[in-house]
Amino acid sequence: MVLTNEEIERYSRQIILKNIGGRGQERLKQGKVLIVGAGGLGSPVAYYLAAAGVGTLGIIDSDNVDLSNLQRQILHTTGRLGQPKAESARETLLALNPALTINTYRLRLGKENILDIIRDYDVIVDGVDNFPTRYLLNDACVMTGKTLVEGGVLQWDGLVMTIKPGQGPCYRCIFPEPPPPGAVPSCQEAGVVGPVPGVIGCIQATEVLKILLATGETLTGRLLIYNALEMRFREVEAGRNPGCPVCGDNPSIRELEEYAFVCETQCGR
Amino acid sequence: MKIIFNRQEKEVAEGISINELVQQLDFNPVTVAVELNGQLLLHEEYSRKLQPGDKVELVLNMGGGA
Repeated sequence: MVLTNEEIERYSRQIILKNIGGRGQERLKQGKVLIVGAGGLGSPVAYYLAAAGVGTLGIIDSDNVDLSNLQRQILHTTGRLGQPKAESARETLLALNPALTINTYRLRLGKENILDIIRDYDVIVDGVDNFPTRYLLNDACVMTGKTLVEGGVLQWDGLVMTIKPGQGPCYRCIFPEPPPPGAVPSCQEAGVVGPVPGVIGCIQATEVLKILLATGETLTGRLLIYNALEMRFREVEAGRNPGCPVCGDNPSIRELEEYAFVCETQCGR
Repeated sequence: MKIIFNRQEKEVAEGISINELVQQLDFNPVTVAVELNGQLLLHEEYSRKLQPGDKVELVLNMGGGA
């Protein structure tokens, strides 16, 4: 895959880096990344990956743009209220970088469609707003060996890790089961400060670039935890749990299962 | 005895387990991961008793993608 003169100019500030170069830029152009959720996390992830020239981006979101999204979801605009988020995202990303392929999916991931969708992508990015989809995504990526860049935020806090099945812990190694409904509030209930998903999403995008470039070290076996109120990052080491229900030595979950969406945390968005 | 919880000294009962501490702090053990002296514990290890001076931090399961 040869780069055009325009591409060399557009990406010159990263091509100049010795661990990217023309070869690395070609790898990005060939890269296929699926971003699940075009919200607070998905916005910066998609924006930076599009800017960096990742050739194919998939965007999944079943919601429409709402006024209360715009405080943090920077892909969307006031003029696109009520429009499907996946389409709004596509419009913004193509305005930034028209050469990309942007696949949109206006649906909610479920066990009946997830394997078909993730199959076509090299890396999956979690920017979902609920636990059922988060666990479904983890399990599907473990079962198919896909790399998953995980991120979560709430209020002033964020968490990010990269799951490479077989090479470190998965989400269930750390949190074996989703919290019971109502035990952990959603951003809708408890709020979130706009730049917090911005920071976490930018870290997720950086992880994706390194994975596509096969350079550097990822957050595999390490959780990065961010508290914006104290402006502190800390890192926790975590190993694969041999007793993990999905990636352990003797997994109890061998087929995809779905947790019910519960009104308390999922409705009235 | 004294432990360090979230970077601050905290007085806890002698021989308290991780599980007991988490519940005492009003968290549901299923919703948190526990870091002990820089290492994340498996949920199976929550019955472990704390020693004086142990450093404990909680990691919350954040489901929001905003």
